[in-house]
Amino acid sequence: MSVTHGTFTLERTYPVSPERVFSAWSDPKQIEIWAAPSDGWVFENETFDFTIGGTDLSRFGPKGEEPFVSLARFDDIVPNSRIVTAYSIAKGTTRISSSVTTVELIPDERGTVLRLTEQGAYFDGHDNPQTRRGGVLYQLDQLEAYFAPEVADAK
Amino acid sequence: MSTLTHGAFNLERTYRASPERVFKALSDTESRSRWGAPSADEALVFDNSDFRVGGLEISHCGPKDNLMFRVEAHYLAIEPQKFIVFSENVSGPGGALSSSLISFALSPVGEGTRLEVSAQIVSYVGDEMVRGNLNGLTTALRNLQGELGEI
Repeated sequence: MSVTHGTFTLERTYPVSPERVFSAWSDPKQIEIWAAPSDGWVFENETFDFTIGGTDLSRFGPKGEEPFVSLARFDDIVPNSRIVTAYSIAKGTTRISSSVTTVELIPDERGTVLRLTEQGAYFDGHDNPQTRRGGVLYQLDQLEAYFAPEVADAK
Repeated sequence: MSTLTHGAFNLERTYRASPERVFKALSDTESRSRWGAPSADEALVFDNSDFRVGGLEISHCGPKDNLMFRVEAHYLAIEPQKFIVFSENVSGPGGALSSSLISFALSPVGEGTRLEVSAQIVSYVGDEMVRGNLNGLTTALRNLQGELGEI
């Protein structure tokens, strides 16, 4: 069995307040909307205990197939400012990855800069930092689309 | 405003012992409390032992008369004789200090075992805690040679 390590950082600016971005990251109902993978995939939160030490268990994957299971633990939460999560992904008995991800929210004149850093260990080549980066980037795009209607309304 | 410092480092050592022995030394709390303390004036005391995937192990460390640091380890992946991956949260009297992802990978080399350590760290208190993790692990791996002998 082999382990590959890698870190990536992504940064996005959203035209909404840090409070609004934090709310989208801390509410399972909102997460199910914006973090849902592409069409044809399902995504559901089984437990979501948004407290330090609390866990978040979710399942996702192509409809009709054995899902990926993500088990996350919130290591640190500072409202409207940061969320640190340690999470592991598995499919059945196959371990895919373990990561520590930090999301930092920094207010600026355009709204909120979101800086996401993921430090990961990937098992047996089932995933890698480049692919994971692409998946997370897709989610950050989705979040922009999720905010779009309310940003348009505010104008 | 949020202030996080990210850091990562790799360490490598080769011990004069079989992968079985090295794995035991890395997973057994009694052995770890011997080699895990950085110096004779400091101690590492385990509150419990929970070495299994999903297990949560709590320990305290610091100067012998003041075990001021609390360490929570969550085991994420374990393959006997091959590797151990865990996340670790360290806190002190003032609150959270760091969260990290650490892996120990073992491979046989001749009569001995190569141990590769990878640590990826998020510090809540700046560079100091990244260096603290590096110094702590470097010293611990050196101490481990006292347990095992080194090639």
